[in-house]
Amino acid sequence: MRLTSRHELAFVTATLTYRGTTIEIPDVLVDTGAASTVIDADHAAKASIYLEPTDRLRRLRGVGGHEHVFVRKIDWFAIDGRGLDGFEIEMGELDYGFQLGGILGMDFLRAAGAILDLGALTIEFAGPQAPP
Amino acid sequence: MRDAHPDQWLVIEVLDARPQDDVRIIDRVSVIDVCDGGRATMKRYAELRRLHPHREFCFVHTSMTELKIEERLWLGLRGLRATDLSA
Repeated sequence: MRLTSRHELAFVTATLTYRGTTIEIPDVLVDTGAASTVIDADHAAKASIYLEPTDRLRRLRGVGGHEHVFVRKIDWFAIDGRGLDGFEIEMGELDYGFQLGGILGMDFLRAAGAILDLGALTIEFAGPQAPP
Repeated sequence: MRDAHPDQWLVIEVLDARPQDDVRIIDRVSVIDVCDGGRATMKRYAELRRLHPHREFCFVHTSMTELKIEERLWLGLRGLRATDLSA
C-alpha cells in the first residue's frame, strides 16, 4: 500500500471494526517514534466508541508535552486488509492543527509485521495474509 | 470529589501527582467542570488544553472507585504544537 507523504511525514488509511460497524480512518500517521496506536476521538465516535466510565485512562508523556487518552479493545484494526483482532487502541483528542486521524504506533507495526519502504513510500506486511 | 459529584463526568485539573510503576498517582486535584457524557467531557478537556497548554487537565467519571491513570512514554509527534508543522 502507498504511503502518502505530507510535511515529510508518512500517512495511511486504516480500517477499524467495532461491534459490527466498520469505518475508514484517513490521515493516520505512521510513527515508529510512538509506542502505541491512538485514534482521534471524533473518528472513534463514528464507530460509536465514546468515553465510558469503565474505560481505562492513560497519560501519554512525550518530549515537550503530555495528553490524556482512554483505552478500548476493538474487534479489528487493519491497514490495507492486514490487521489484528482484539487490538487495544488509545482514543484521544488529536489537536495538532493539521489533519490527523490517528497515529499508527510500534505496537501495531510490530505485531502486524509491517515492512516500511521509505524510499518507495510503501507499507507491506510479512508473513501470510491474516483473515479478517 | 465523589461525594460532591456522584455518578458524573468531570474535567479536573491535576495539581500534584507523581509516577509509580507506570501509574500516575494523583494526590491533589481541583474540579474544573461537570459535563454531560463522555464525548462532551473529552471535548471540554481538549478546549481547556488549548486555552491553558501548561496546565494538566484530565477527564474522569466519579463512579471510578480509584483515580487510576496509566502512564506511557512517547517520542515522535507527541507534544508538537500546530504551528510546528503547518508553518
